[in-house]
Amino acid sequence: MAKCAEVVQDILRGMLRERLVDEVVAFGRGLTGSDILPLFITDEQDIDRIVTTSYCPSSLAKLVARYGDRNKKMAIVVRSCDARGLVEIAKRRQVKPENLYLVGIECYGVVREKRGEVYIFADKMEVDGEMMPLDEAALSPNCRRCEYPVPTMADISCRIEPEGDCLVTVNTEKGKAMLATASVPVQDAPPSDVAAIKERAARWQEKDFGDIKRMEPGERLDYWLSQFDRCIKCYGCRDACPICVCKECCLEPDRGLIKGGEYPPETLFHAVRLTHVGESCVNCGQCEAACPMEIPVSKLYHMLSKEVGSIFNYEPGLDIDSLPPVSMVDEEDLLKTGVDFG
Amino acid sequence: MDTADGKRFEPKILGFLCNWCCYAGADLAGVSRLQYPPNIRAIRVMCSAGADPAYVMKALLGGVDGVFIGGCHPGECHYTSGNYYTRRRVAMLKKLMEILGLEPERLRLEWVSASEGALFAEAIKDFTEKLKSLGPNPLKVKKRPGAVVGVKRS
Amino acid sequence: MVRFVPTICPYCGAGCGILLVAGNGAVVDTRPWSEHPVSEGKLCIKGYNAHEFIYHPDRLKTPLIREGDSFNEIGWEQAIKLVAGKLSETRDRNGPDSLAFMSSSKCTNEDSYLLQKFARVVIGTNNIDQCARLCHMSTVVGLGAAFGSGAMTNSIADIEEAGCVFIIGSDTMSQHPLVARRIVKARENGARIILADPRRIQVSRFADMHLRHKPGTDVALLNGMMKYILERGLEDRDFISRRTEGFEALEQALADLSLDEVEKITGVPKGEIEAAAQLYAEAEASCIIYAMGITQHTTGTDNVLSLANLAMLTGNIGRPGCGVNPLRGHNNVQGACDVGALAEFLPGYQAVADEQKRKAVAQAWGVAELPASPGFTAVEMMNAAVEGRVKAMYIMGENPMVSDPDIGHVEQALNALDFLVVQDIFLTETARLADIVLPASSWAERDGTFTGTDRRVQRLRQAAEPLGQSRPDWAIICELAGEMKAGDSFAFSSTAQIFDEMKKVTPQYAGMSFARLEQPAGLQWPCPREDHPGTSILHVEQFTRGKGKFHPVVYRAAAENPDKEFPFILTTGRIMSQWHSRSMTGRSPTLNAESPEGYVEINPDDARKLGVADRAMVEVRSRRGTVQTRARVTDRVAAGVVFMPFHFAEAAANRLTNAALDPVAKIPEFKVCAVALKTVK
Repeated sequence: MAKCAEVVQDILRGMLRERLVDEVVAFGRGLTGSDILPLFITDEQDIDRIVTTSYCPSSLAKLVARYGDRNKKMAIVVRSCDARGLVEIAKRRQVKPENLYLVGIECYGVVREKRGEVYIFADKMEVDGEMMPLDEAALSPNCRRCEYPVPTMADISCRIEPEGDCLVTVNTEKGKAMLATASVPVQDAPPSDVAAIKERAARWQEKDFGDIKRMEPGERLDYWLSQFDRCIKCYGCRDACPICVCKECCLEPDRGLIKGGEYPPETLFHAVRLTHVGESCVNCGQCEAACPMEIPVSKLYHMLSKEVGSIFNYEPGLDIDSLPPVSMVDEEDLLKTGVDFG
Repeated sequence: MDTADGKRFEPKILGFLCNWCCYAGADLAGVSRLQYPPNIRAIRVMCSAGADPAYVMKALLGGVDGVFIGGCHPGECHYTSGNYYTRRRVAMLKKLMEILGLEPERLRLEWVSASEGALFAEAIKDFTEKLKSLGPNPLKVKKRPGAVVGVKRS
Repeated sequence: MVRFVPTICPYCGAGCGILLVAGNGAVVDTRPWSEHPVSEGKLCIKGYNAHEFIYHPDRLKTPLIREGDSFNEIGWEQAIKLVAGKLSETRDRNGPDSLAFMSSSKCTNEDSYLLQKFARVVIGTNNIDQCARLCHMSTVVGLGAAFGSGAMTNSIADIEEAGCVFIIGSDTMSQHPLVARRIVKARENGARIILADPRRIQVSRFADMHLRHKPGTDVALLNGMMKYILERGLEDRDFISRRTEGFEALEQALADLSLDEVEKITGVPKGEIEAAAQLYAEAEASCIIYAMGITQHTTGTDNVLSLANLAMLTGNIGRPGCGVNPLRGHNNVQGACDVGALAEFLPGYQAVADEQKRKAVAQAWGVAELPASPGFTAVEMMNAAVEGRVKAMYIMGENPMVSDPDIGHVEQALNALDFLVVQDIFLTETARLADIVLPASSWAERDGTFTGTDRRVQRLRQAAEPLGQSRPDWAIICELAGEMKAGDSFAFSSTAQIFDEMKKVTPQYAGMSFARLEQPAGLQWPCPREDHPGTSILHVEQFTRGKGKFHPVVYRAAAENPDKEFPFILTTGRIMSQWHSRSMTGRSPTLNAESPEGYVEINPDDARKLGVADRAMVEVRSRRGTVQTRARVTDRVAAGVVFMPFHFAEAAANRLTNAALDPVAKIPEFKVCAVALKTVK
């Protein structure tokens, strides 16, 4: 499997060497070689540490927005949810898209709990070098609902084949320049067949959202209240979310909404987060991965974003020029969609 | 509908009324001696878009039975486009309420101009009836053991 | 460019892994560390803000010397000379036992190890202790007597496998949130949750049962449960006969107990006690989780022994998902005990009174003799200082002026000393009374090891250079020893070197090394050999002491009970966003903003009778002192009981608490005392 990582490393090494970028952001090997850490790399030597395994413990989009220098040129190894997160962050002017060079990796899901070195493919998975049928239960819940295996928003996208080959597709002009410096030959890949993944996504969305929708309203309310009862207000969901980019946050104590020192916090804590990010959720699943109490928050946000998206015909994270639906106006809209305001 | 303790249920409505239209409309309803249910507590906002979704949720999760937002008719916003934002937010909020398990009908948006006192009275009458048929906000009766009670600022 | 440095959270004993975000030579943020086996990429609010106090302007950057009521800056060389001179002089004039040392369960294993070695080798006294005495000494003593090992029997992740989780005296959701996570997961897996706590804490929201017993009646409650188990024949006879001794004595002691009596003492309906006992005894694997609600009593040791009895009675020891699991408070309170910063134990819980073990350690350290009689414990040190038997004290990273019981007495003690050195990162309430203050570097600025509550020894990694002239505690101790002509035994230039010596005298750590600890999971002791994988569950085949021993315990009332003059029971504890004496959290803007001031929780019925409104100022008075604080009217506490967090120096709960000690563990009764309340006009 090393071959794919080698191709990605080669592209990034070239970009760093040719000064196309100042810094590379990716996941790589940490303390012992088997553990994984996010890395901000400026030294070509560290490029060797970069991995392309299906274990991505945090949103690189968020890390770039939070710690990156927006005036520096950065290459970021992204999956489609990272790329979509960066698109949303760019809409909120927290990164300069012209400074970002996105090296996309096709992604059919990542594992939440790490069991060895894992690669996920459309219909199989490789664990510590051994190929086996895909166990959907091992995937992070948000990945099962994901319809976007191919990071078309990235400048180039790399497809990892089960045999270890890496096929690269160029999506943008910038992408061409990025590949120009690579020393290994890269060929244009035929488009990936994503029908099976769309089917999987539809199936899991039906299950995850349907379970909630099928409840009576009172039952649904009780369900969420019992989930929120476990909340310890660590702010982990907010801090992991690529959409939450405010420097000052209205959820902090003494801003008139959420009282400090009360645990669990009022249900309003979650409702306010929903009103702020729900419409723009890119289903990266980082909120749920960060939740110490296993509250299925990603399901909640994703569900709202899907529902709101259906009214406004909007899908977050795909197009940098289309603004979040509640932060723009259109005189004619909604008059034709038949929303009932009563 | 009656409450558990046998009293007649009178819904509590929180109103966010735009200063330039609906608030004046409510005023007109008052001076015209139009009868409408006394269930609404009005907050005057400079624009219906001032009803931040967070405040709407704060009211609903805090136990208010319904939230009424009154803004200017499309095309008549004092600030050109505030009511269009409100319209989109209400659409979003109704979905949010539905997902959480609160009846979306507890939130109502109406366009009421300064001259439409009768329309305001009618809207409140209708909304109150609707809330009566829905019954009390389920969050009002939920016990939250261990919470601080009687938050009286001293 | 930023770096993500894996290290360990400095707050509670859960020992979560965090990534410190270092950029431009400074720590700028904290992120969760997904590869860590305890926290798995999740943290609580304290963990997320662990970096916030590091660069607070109050950080000590140079040594300070007292001049009248203020402090002047001095150089390191001069400070070390002065301290060494004073310590030598006091030892020579008044004997080694006129000095006392307080190590800290916030410091690394290496720091605590060196300070106890310094006390024993350079000074020649066993007067070394730390705040484990104030939190879990009853665990060390109680589980030591029952099982042979005074530590958490199982691992944190292991709780998920339980069929029944019995939580008693632990506000797990707010004090060990990442342990509470496992309880939540256990429940998702179908486990039943029993909570026994006087307060309606967050766990009660999803627990299957909540027994709300009166503070200080744990023994009665547990005896009641055991009585019912025996009555119904729910005990594990096979386990009892194969693995334990002393069962007859327990049977006899419980023979005459009546559950009606228990109901009267605890205030818990008999039926609930029976139902809880049934749930606990019948589950395939039942796990006990407890914390300071059990230990901080004059009957602390008895409480712990009762829990051990209950677990052995039902055979819930030595298997996944069961056990007796104390949750240690501090990040390194387990380690500070392991490495011998205790008045009666050398490293590895080898009693100082045991001549053979003492000789062996002396030999390893290259000295002829080590002091043989147990030294003063934390509270005894203060008493001895008041009596003039302790003349000089060296306090490393502790703040007894907030954290000890009966602070008025502590102040008197520290003022009575001839010489007080405090080594800390901030000028704490205690440091303000010092003659010399030495600046230590913070946890983010050093290497070393912490030992978490599930005996997990983990590496701390340096993320930035020490601030100003501050130094790691171990380096200061080495310097001091050199100045006192004991440099040969303290010739360390790195924490790895100290660890290598430490593991030779600490049998539990024998097979560990910095290289082996590099993996994210660290190693759980006992790890006796270099090829040993560490131990996640204790007492699997047999107990550490051979057979588990039942200790029949009879209920004793708390030392101080409510009466006409002081009609309320005051119980104390911690809250989510603050930590102990607030020297760290009080200087973390995010954490402090959550709960910036102290309060007293009062039941609505009591508040009505007293005419106290929510947030009104009230005066809380005990036989030892008076404080004013704000009322928080809530049904979290039962009528007749009030609760105060002990973090806040300006409304210090410990001005009120009782310093009465557990006769064996010498732990003070923080959890029960009698108070009176009145409104402040």
